[in-house]
Amino acid sequence: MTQYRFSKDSESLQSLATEGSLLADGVVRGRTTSAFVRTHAQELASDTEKLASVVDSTHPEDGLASKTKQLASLARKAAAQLSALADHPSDASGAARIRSALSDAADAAEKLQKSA
Amino acid sequence: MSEQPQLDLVLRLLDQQIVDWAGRRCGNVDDVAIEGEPGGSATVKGLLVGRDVTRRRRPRLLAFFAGPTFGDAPEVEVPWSAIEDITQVVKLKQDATELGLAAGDDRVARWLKRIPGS
Amino acid sequence: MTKVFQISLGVLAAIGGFVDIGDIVFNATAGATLGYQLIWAIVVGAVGIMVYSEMCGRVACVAKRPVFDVVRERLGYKVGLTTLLASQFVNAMTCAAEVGGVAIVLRYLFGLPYRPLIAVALLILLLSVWFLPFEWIERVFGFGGLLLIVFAVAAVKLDPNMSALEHGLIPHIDTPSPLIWCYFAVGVLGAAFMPYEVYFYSSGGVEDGWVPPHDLKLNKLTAIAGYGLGAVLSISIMVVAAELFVPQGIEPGFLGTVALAAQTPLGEAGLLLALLGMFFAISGAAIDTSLAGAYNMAQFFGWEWGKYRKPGGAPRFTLTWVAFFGLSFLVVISGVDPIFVTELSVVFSVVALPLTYVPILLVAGDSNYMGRHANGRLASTLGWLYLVVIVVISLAAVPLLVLTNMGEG
Repeated sequence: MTQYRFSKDSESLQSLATEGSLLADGVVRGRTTSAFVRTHAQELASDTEKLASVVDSTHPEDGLASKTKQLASLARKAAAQLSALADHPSDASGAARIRSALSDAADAAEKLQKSA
Repeated sequence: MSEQPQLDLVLRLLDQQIVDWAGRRCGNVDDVAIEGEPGGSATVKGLLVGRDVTRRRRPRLLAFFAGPTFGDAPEVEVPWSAIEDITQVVKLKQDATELGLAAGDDRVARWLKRIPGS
Repeated sequence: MTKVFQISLGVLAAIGGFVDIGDIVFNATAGATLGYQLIWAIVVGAVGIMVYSEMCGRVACVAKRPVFDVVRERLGYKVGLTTLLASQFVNAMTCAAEVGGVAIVLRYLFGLPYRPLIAVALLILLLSVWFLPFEWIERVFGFGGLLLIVFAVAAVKLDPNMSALEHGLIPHIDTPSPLIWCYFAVGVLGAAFMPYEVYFYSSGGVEDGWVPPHDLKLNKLTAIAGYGLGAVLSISIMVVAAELFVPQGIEPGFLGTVALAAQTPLGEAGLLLALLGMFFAISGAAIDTSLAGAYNMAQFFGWEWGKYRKPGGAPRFTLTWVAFFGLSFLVVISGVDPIFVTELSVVFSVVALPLTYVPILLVAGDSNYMGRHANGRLASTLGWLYLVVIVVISLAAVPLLVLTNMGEG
């Protein structure tokens, strides 16, 4: 895991988490369909889980070890939120919590990227 | 045949679509059969169609690739006398099957006939 | 109403060429990565394909010769065969991606598992092409794909930055990664010139029975209106991505991401229209590519061809497009990502572009062939200019793909 790779992976997590938050927002506002939410949330969850595995499997450069662990952990939490959204695509109150959590995950990933 | 003072065999005949008297497409002109001796006069005998003819024209790396023929005859010579006209296509005076052309289409058609809507 | 239907060939060719699964995601990614910087590339590409499609259509109308007839005749057997194999490889890759794309859209619509939906997608496409006459294929899938106009509505709703949009009509680089800019520019331009568009369009002109002089005007109108609409749809997708995804740092990796861009400003109605539009557009692209593959084989080997004949009337042609769908099914069911496949196919197709477009330019300009309908000064100038563009992008495509890691840096 190099500095460059860490930055790219953080950006990827921000993107996935933000998109998931947007998807959840659609459920909260009742402006989407459950079939679409279920399918797309599964796609995002799968990609986020893959990202977590890839980050976990890297050998970080000096100074990146703990940040890499944090990034992997953030990614796994985001993947769990997305899976929950996929499992309950019509639950507006659940979606509101997930929206918040994913937005926080995106912010945390951005902070990690800037601090590296 | 329409009167043409000259016919560029490479540009206007070679690789042209052949259609029979009913307008059915039945192959391309893969080569031209010419008879005559070197130093003497040459006459176009007919058109050559088929995978054995194109073998001579294929790139070396693709010498094996004849395309799926589905039972077309490997080499057919269409006599010059069978040609009605040469414009953008080579139009024949006869039916494709009489000349041994498009056998692959006939073969596949027999099989497709069993499917509804064909 | 009849006049509107008459341009349906151009609409279907353009839909297949401009808003297939790869273009939808690629244009959205270009917008999300570079904002408005590549609007000019869509316009330049659209004008180029209008020029070449008009030429192909004119050749089809006057000489009754579709593109692959002309390719073999002008390039000879050796080069023609190489072009055939290269184009069939790209057609097959693209067709597989589109079949997968149809299944993905069905999944978004119905929430059912992906693998069975691949079979459903295949069945829908096979039955449509088998039973529908050519003009109904054009109308259903061409005009159905125009539901993607919802992205234009979404773009307006998002109140885009008009000065940035206008600035995007002029080529300029405003990114720390010029190579990434080049990759996307080549990709957007290359996508406009996908060879199967002209194979399909020119064969369609023969299928539709175009005759001069009346249908020469129709050909021009069809090429301009069809590809013009395709360009509008592409620009709309780029605009919504620029407005929605750039500020939020979203990188579109899925068709669903693009659908989200219609849902965010327009709600459930926007989402459903976007998904239905994608269904018809991507299905149209699948049909374009499978028929283009069949046209190419039949025209190169001299078989009978045409959807205007019943399937049994053009047997090997029929078998070929069925085989394309069958092969697509096998590729997609193996688990290959359709979006990845189509992005690769854009890049590989640009390498084969000069072999497709040179014969068209030569024949359309040949007065022995075309009589008084040969290329005039404008068509000739634009044709040669765009040939230079095509050669440049064909040389640059693969190195850029490698150097930029497919645009990811």
